[in-house]
Amino acid sequence: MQQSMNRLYTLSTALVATLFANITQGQTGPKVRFTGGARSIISNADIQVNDTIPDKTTAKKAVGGYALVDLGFNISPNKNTEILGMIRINNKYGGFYGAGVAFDVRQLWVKGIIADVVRYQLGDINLKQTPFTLYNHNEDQMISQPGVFQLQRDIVNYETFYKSNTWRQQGLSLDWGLQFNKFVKELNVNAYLTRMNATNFGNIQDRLFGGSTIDLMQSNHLSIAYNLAALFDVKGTALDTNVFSNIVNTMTFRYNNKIGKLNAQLQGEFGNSRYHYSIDTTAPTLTDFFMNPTFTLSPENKQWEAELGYLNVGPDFRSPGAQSKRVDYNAQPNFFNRYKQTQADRPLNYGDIMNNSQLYSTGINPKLMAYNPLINNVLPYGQATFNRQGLYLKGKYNTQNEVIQSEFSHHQLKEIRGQGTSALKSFMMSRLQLGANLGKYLHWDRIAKISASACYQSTQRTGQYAFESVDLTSFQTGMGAEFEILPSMDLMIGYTALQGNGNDLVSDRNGFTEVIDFSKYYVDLNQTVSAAGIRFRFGEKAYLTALYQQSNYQDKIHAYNNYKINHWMVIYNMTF
Amino acid sequence: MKRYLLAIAFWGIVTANAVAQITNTIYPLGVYPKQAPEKLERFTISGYYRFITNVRYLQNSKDMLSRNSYTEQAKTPTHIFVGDDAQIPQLMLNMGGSITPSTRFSTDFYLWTPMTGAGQAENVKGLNLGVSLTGTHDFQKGSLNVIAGGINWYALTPFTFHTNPGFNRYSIFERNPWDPQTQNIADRYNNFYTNGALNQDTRWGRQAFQGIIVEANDMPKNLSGVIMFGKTQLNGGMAPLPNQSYGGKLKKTVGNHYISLNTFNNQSYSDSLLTHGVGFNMHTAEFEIKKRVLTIYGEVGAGRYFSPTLAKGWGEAIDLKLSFPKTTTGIPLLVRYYRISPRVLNNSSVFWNSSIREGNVSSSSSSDQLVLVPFSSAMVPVGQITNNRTGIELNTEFEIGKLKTSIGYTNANEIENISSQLTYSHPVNNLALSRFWRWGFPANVGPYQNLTKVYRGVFETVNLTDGTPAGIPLYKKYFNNIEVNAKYKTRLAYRDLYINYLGSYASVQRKRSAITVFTEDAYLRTYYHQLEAYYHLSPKVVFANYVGWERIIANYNTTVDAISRRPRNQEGWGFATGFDIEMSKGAGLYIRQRWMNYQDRSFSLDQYKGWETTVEIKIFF
Repeated sequence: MQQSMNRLYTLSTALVATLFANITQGQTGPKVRFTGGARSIISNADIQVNDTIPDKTTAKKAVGGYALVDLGFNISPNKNTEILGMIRINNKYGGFYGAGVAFDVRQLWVKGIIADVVRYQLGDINLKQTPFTLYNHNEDQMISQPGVFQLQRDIVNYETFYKSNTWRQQGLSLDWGLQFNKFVKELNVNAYLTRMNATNFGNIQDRLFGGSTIDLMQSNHLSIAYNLAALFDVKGTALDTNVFSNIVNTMTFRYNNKIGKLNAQLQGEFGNSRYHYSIDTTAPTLTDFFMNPTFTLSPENKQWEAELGYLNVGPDFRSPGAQSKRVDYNAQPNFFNRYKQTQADRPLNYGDIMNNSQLYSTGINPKLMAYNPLINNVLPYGQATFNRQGLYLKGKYNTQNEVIQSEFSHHQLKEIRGQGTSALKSFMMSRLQLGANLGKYLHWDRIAKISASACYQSTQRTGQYAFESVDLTSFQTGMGAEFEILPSMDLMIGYTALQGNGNDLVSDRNGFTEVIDFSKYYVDLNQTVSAAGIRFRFGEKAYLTALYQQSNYQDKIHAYNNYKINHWMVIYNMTF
Repeated sequence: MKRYLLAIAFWGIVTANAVAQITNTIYPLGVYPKQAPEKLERFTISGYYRFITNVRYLQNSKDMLSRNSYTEQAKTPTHIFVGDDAQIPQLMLNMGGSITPSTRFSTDFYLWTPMTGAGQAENVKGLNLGVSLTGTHDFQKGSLNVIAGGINWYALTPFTFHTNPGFNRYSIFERNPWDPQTQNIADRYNNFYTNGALNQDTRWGRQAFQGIIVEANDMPKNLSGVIMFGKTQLNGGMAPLPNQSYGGKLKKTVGNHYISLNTFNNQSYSDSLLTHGVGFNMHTAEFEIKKRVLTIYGEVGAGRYFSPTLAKGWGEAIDLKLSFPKTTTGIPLLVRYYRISPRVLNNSSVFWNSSIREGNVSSSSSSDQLVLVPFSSAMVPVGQITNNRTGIELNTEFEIGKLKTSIGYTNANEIENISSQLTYSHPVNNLALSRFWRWGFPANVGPYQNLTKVYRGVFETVNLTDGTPAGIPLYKKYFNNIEVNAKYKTRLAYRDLYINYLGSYASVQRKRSAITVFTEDAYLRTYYHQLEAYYHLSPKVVFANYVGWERIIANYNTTVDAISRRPRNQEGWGFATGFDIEMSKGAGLYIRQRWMNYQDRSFSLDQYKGWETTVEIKIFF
């Protein structure tokens, strides 16, 4: 007993000492510091349409822009607490002496440590769990973008808080861990609870999204974890007693070891979901399961890596945290949203997706969002896309001096359940990305990079009847280069294209995600975006760039929809 | 079993070490980002607080305030107003941060409480100049300076993008909203006496520009350049119409001399389908040659206005100045010749537009006047020029003991007889008069709808009647103006006394004259006299005084009153006194009391009499 008490005393002292060393935020320095970003954009665009009827109703040119500053007040009232309040001041281009000014609260959170044990963050938080529970897939960007396009994507990512595949939520997150001396190494726990929507006291309940991960690291070789992600209504918060819930339970595991000189890793996730309304008899209860084991090999120097995986996601597997999409394909473009004499809605093009942050969601959507079959028909909802099974192979290879970097992947999947037929669709997707650092190769002290990437997708189905026949292919390519022509002055060029043709039957779903009908989808479309620009880098945190971008939309089936947009932009961007 | 579980729990408690840190999990746990963001290198807040209130009493305001939205004010003789409707708020914060030593962002932010008793509901917040980003990057051969974002005050050259800074012949009795606090309360008057100028706000001589400005400096072969692209106040607006202004400058310096090629252009649309495009182009060459005996400055170029309905082609724009130092001519002398074609228009330059009426259309949807300068043939101060005019100016200054005198002379004429209207100002009670119509810049106000409010002033329009029945003038107009500014500093009871006199004697007539015409041959004669005295009463107090008298007389070739059948015969007086008090370091209290009396003996409704009290507190931090 005395020995145990002594041991407890020793451990407690060590605990306190360890915790002081572990506290990382808000310890030293001034109490209030400032963080954020600033940006100025001026853009000019013109559109050319291919319509036989002369257009006398829509403008062919547009300008826009803004200057904004995000000013965050980072306050450390004590060594265990940190508060961030960030305001946005946005000044629309053309607004003089206060016109066109908007003030917003960009984010507000507090984080800290409770009792030197539990870390918390409350307010606006960025969360991520696993690819099947809570994960912000970037499934609409199939290929890596050359730097000239990445500038615009970086702005979109900043606006939408997309970082590290997290979703921005509003709520509370707690995490803590335990370290052990024997048998088990670590136990780490995270729990979160966020609010999706508030009640209207009538037919809409308070809806929350919560979850937890308990990760047990037995040793450096073996880890297992349990993950829970639950979207649910809080009963009693509205007059309507029909409550919705979508619960996802998964287990993840990881086993590392060596095979000869190679590092081998067996990792995977499996689990189930339940989608349910408590009272509504017209609503289905959907339950299903999934599994996704992978086997990875790589050498010690990480010069290459090969991964073989098996994916099986049931047709009724629903996980809003993992299946929410970034791009809302039903949203309007932010300029020339109507065109031609008929004032038709202008279809989104690849260029819009690249630079229009208003097309992007900033949070989880409990409903199944529409997808664009041309951009991604194989895994439109990311790794958690339901009704898929099959094998995939991924690999990376970098030369020793990292002059050449490459990635490839190949998915060979098929449906589990036929859609309107017993025949099953099969999906194939192959991707390749190459990058060459010429500057490193030629031992220049300036930037010189080229990149190229391609993605080919195919959806096929054959059957006894004509309506079963599906044959849809799409091909995305991208290439670009960056050259530092003067110190800190870069020339950037890029080209990306999306071509698709064929047909598919796209499922029409009701509000309960059930298939109720099918729509014929015919396409013979060619979209290209080319861009060139000059960028001045003012250190690491600021740049000025002048860009020209041309987007071309060519619909060979409905040629009257064709259009071309020329877009000039000057962007001055700072982060701090 | 129970004992076994207890043992495991006990083992867990005694062997566990709780940590607030997550490591080595299968998927990273917890919130993101995992690294603390970087912080600003430097952040500053400065600004000022300015409280101003104005009480006005007018004996008879009914006729003066007879325009629709102002008739309510006409019902009562006394008005109290808290604030400044000239766009300057109470609390102005200028916030800025440096990301690197050479990269910076800034924004202003204002708060204003009208103090009407409605409290929070009427309080106002906003931006004045907006968010601005600047950066400098040094290359091996030169440097790049970038300014982007909100309103930046900038200048290229006088004919391309500039405002007229004038010759410092103005009254300093009334304070401007942007006037700074000086270390000593009397420095304002001492600086004016000594240097002939006050410390001016950053906008002096510059125009407001929103967009992007890129400057390249110290380039090889002594070259420097500017490119600018964006909007000006006159083609602003947030509609997606591609109303743009763009320009630039390429300058080469050779020793003390330089030459530059400059351009400024505007393209605007007055319809949403972009079929009615209007705008102007201005291309010039500017040069300066400095010799020991004189300095030659010039800007020569061409400009044009274009629109679907009006395209008169290109016209010339010439401005030449010879500046002789004291050593050459005994007293410093500036001789100027200018000529600006009626086809040239640039509302962002030093010259006003008096020839192309539709050129004053902007994208503004306001029902008030769209351009804050007089159209028509304007009687302008020495130094101010307009298009459709050519002339010479002489300016000199000299000292006789403690008396410092500055004299200006102008002799100009129209190039083409286009307008049958004249405009002129009322400097004696100008600021007080502009406050009769608060908010906005209404045109055609006053009892005879011939007054137009501009920024902190008013101008009056008079029609000429010696043209064709269709209103086309038969004669070109000739302008003369003589301005005198005398400043004297002395001591009275061991304290400094500053006395300033500002006089202006101008005429406009059908024929050329060597000097101002003082007879009825002139369409219009204007005589303005303003005498000011500032006594440094104590270390923290200045006693300020003002007397002004203006006399405006028109002849029978101008509009006559329907009842009296006589042309304008106007006389106005202004008496004012006040105190500048230094409350504490950086804080000043300014009190002004003005008595006004104005009457047109021909147009009986055009008269006002009353007083105005203004109290201002300004604190800088």
